[in-house]
Amino acid sequence: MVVTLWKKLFRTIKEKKAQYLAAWILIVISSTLFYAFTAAGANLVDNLDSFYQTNNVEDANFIVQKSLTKPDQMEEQLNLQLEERLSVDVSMKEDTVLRLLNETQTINTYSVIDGTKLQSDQDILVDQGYAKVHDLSIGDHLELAGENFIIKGTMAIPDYIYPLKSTSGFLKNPDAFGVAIVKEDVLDNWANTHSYFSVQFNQDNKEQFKKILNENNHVLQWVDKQDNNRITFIKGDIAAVKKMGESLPIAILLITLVIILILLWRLMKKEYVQIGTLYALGYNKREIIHHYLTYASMLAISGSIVGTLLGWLLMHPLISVFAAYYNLPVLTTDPHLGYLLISLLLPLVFFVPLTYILVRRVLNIPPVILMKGGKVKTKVNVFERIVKLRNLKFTKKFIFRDILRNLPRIGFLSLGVMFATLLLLMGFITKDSMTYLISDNFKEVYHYEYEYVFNQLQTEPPQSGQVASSVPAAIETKDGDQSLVVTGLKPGNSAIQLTDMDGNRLKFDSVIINKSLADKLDIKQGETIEVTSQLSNKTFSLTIDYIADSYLGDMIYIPLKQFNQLNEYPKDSYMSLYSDKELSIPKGELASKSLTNNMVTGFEQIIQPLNYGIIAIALVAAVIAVIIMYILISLLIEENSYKISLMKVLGYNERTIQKLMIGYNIWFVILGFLIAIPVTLVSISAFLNSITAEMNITIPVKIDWINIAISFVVILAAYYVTILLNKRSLKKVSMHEAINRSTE
Amino acid sequence: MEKLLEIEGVNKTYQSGLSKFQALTDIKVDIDRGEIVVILGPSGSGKSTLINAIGGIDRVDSGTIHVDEKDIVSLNDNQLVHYRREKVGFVFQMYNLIPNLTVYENIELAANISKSPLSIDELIDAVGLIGMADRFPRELSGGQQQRVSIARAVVRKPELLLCDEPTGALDSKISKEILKLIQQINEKYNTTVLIITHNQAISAMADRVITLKDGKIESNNLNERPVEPERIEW
Ligand SMILES: Nc1ncnc2c1ncn2[C@@H]1O[C@H](COP(=O)(O)OP(=O)(O)OP(=O)(O)O)[C@@H](O)[C@H]1O
Ligand SMILES: [Mg+2]
Repeated sequence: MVVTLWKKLFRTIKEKKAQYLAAWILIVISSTLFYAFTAAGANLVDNLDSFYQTNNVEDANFIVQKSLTKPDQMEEQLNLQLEERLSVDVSMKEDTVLRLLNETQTINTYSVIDGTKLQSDQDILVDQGYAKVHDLSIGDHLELAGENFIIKGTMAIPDYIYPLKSTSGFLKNPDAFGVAIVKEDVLDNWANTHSYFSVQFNQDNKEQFKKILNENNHVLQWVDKQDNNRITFIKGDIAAVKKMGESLPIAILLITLVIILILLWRLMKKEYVQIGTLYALGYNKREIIHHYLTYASMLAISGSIVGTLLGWLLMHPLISVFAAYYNLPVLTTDPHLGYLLISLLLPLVFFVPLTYILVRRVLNIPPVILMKGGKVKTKVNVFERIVKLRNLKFTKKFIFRDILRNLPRIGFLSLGVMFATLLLLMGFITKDSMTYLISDNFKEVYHYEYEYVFNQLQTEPPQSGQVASSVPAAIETKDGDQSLVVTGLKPGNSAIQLTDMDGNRLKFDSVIINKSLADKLDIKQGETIEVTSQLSNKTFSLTIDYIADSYLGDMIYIPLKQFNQLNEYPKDSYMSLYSDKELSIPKGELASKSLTNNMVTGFEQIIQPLNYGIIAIALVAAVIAVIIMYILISLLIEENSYKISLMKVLGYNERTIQKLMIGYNIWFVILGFLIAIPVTLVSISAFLNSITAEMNITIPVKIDWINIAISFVVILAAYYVTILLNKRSLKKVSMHEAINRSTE
Repeated sequence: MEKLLEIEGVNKTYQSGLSKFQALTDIKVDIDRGEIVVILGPSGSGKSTLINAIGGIDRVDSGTIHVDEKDIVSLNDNQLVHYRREKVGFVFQMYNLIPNLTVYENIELAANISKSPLSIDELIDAVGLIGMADRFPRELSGGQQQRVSIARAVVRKPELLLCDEPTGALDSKISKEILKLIQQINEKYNTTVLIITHNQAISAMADRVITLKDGKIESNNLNERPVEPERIEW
C-alpha cells in the first residue's frame, strides 16, 4: 500500500483509538483464551496419554470368588497381561481412609512425582493431593495400623489418577481419601487385605476371557477402563476445558467481527468523498480495497499475535494448576503448532472475507456519487412510516424517531448484552446445577450414612441395616454399549428414596430407571430393554415401570427378589448393606465401606475453585459487555454528532441531550438481558449434555434467582460505566460542526 | 494549433427510479492544447456531468471523447484508472483534501502513483504555501486549502486540469489569486485547463467560452483578448 495511505490509516486509528482499542482488546481476549485453553487441554491430554502408555494403564479390573490358580497360563493362552493387586484401607485419622496398594511390576506402575522410588519395606509413597491436604512431607514417619513407615515422596498411578474411593464415584475428596504405594511384601503379610486383578488385553478377547473365568470361578466384580471414573474422569474434564476454549473465543470473535464491520462501514460512509477523490486522483479499486481491508487485518493480526503470546504465558500456569489439581506427573509442554496457527490466523480468517464484501459493496458505488457524499438517504423506513407519533409529547416523539432510525444498531446492542449475560449466567448455572445435583438431589435420594459392600454374597439376614445387591451391566445401543448399574432392593427399602418426575414417592416393587440413564437411552415408561450383566454375562429383559428424578450415576432399580432370580443368585442373598450408623463387620468380609458424608464435603471442596472461576468469568463478561456497549454508544454519538451539535447550538444542555439521544438504550440493555435467560438455559443444557455424554451422570440445569439478580446488577453496572466513559465524547462534539458542516 | 480534446455526439441520461433525465444531449466540442476553457451555464445544465466524463470518473451513454487521439469512452475501468493517473488533474469546489493528512502528504498522495512527479516542496512554494507543508487542512483557510488541492492536481504534470467551481466557496480577492495560480500553471506547463463556473466574469480570462443549457451546448466562442485574472471585474 502507498506510504501516504498508511499515514492516513494510523491517524484515523489514533483519532478513534478508544473504539479500535476496544475491538482490539476483544480480539486479544479471544486469542488468549483460545490458545491458552486449547493448548493447555491438548498438553494435558498428551501427558495423560503418555502417562497411561508408559505406566501401562489397565483395560479392566475384576474380583473373582476364588483366586486365579494359573494366571501365567491364561496370559499366554489369551495373549494378555494379568497382575494381582492387594489393597487395604487403613485410617490415619478419624473419617479418613488411606488405601495402601502394593507396587506393581507390569500394569498400573507408579511414577514418582517428588522424592525417590520405594526401596525398603518401610518406604511409602503417597498420592500428591492427599499429602498436600494432610501436610505430609518427605521423611515424615507414619504409623498405619500399627506398622511404621517413612514417606519417600509423592507418586501418581494410572488407575487412581483421579483418586476416587469407588470406581463409580465422581467427587474426589483428598481430605477423606487417598492412596499410597508400598512394597509388595508389606501387603503380602498384612491381614484382611483384599485382592483384585488388573488386566491388559493385547487383542480383542475380553468376552472369551470372561467366559473362561466364569467356567470354574465367579466374577464378582468387573470394571472396564471406560467405566472407571478414576481413569476416565480427567479426560472428560479436560474435554470440557478444551470445548470452552474453542467455543467461547469463537463467540467473542463473531461479536468482534460485527463490531469491526460496523466501525468500518461507519468509517467508509464518512469517507465517501475521500474515496471518490482517491478515484479521481487515479487510485484503483484494488488499492482502495486494500487500504480499508488493512484496518481489519491489522487489528486481527496484531490482536492475535499479542493474544497468542499472552495465551502462551497463560497456558503454563493453567497446565500447572490442572496438573496439580489432577496430580498428574511432571509434564512436558508442547506449543501445539496446530492450535498456535489457528490462534494466530483465526481472527484474520474471520474478518477478511466479510470486510472484503463490505468494502467491495461500498466501492461499487460510482465515484461521482461517492464524491457527492453518497446518495442522500431520503427514504423513510417502513416503521417510521407505520408508527404515527403525532400525539406524543416532543421528547417521546424524538426518542421514538431515534429508535426507529437506529434499529439495527440497537438490535446489535441487545445482542451484545445478551452474549455478555449468557457468559455470566453460564458460570452461575454451572455452579447452581452442580449444587443442585449434589446437595439437593443427592441428599434427597440417599438416606444412609454408611454403605458396606461384602466381598462375597451374603445369605444370612443382617443384624442391622438394609440389604441390597448391585451388578455392573451394559445395554447395547446403536452408538455402542451404555454401561449402568442394576441394583436390587427390597420393596420397603428407605435408604434410597426416589420420586417420579412429578414428585411422587416410588416403591421398589417395580422396575425404576433414573432420569440420567433414561435420557441417555431415550427411553420411556413401559418400554423394554435388554440388559447384560457384566459379571455373569447373562442377558435379561426389563420393562421400565417408572422414571425417577435422580441424576447421579446411570441406574436401574429392581426388586431384590427379581434381581437374585435373574442373576441366578441364592434366594434372599445380598451383597451390600446401607446403614445410618456404623456397623461392626469384620474387615476381612468387606470389599468396601463408604461414607456418604464424605461425598458432600468433597463436593464442597470441588465447588470452591469453581467459585473463583465464576468470578473470573463474570469479570470477562463485564469487560466484554462494557466494550460492546461502549463502542455502540460512542458510534451513536458519532453518527448523530451533527444533530447533537445543532442541539447544543439551539441551547440544549448536555444532560438533556444525553437523555434524548442515549438514555433510551437502557431499555434495550434490559431487553438483551431478558432474552439471554432462556437462551442460556437452552444452550447450557446442550453444552452440559455434550460434556457429560461420556460420564455416568447428567447435570440438570438449574439457576438460582439470586444469581440472576447478581448478573443483572453486573450488566447494569457495565452499562453505567459505559455511559460514564462516553460522557467525554458527548462533550467533545463541537458546535462548529453544525455551523460549518463541510470541513470534514 | 494541435487538438487535445475532441468530443463528438456525447449523450448521457440519468435514471432515477422510473424517470429518466437527459443530462447531456449530442455534445460536440473540440479543444486545443494549452487552452483555458471556461464552461458557463445555469445550475443543472450538465456542466459537472460533462467534466466528469472528460476526466474519466463518469461514463456517457454514447458518443466519443478523444483525448490525444485516444477515445476514452471505449476504455475499461482499469484503463480509465491509468488514464486519470497519466493525463488528468482535478480541482473541486470543496477542495476534497484528506483531513488527517498534512499539506505535504495530501500532495504526496497524488505524487506517489506517478512516474515522474514534480518536486512537492517546490510546488508548495510555487502555490504560495511556504512554510505550511506540515499543517493539516483544518488549520488552513479555504483559499489555502484550494491551493493545496491545485498543487495536488498538478504535481503529476497533467495535460488536462479540470476545475469544477474552483472559486465557488471563496471571496473575490482570494478567487482572483486562485485563478491567477491556475493561469500560471497553464502558462508554465502548457496545461489545458477547463474551469466550470457560475460566474460570467471569469470568462474574461478564457481562451474559449462554452455555455451549456439543458444539457446542450448553447454557444462556443473564442475569446480574442483574454485578460489577466487580477484585472477581472468581479
Ligand atoms: N446521479 C444522478 N442521478 C440523477 N440525476 C442526476 C445525477 N447527477 C446529476 N443529475 C442531474 O443531471 C443534471 C446535470 O447535473 P450536473 O451536476 O451536471 O449539473 P451542473 O451543471 O454541474 O449544476 P451545478 O451548477 O448546480 O453544479 C441535473 O439536473 C441533475 O439533477
Ligand atoms: Mg456542478
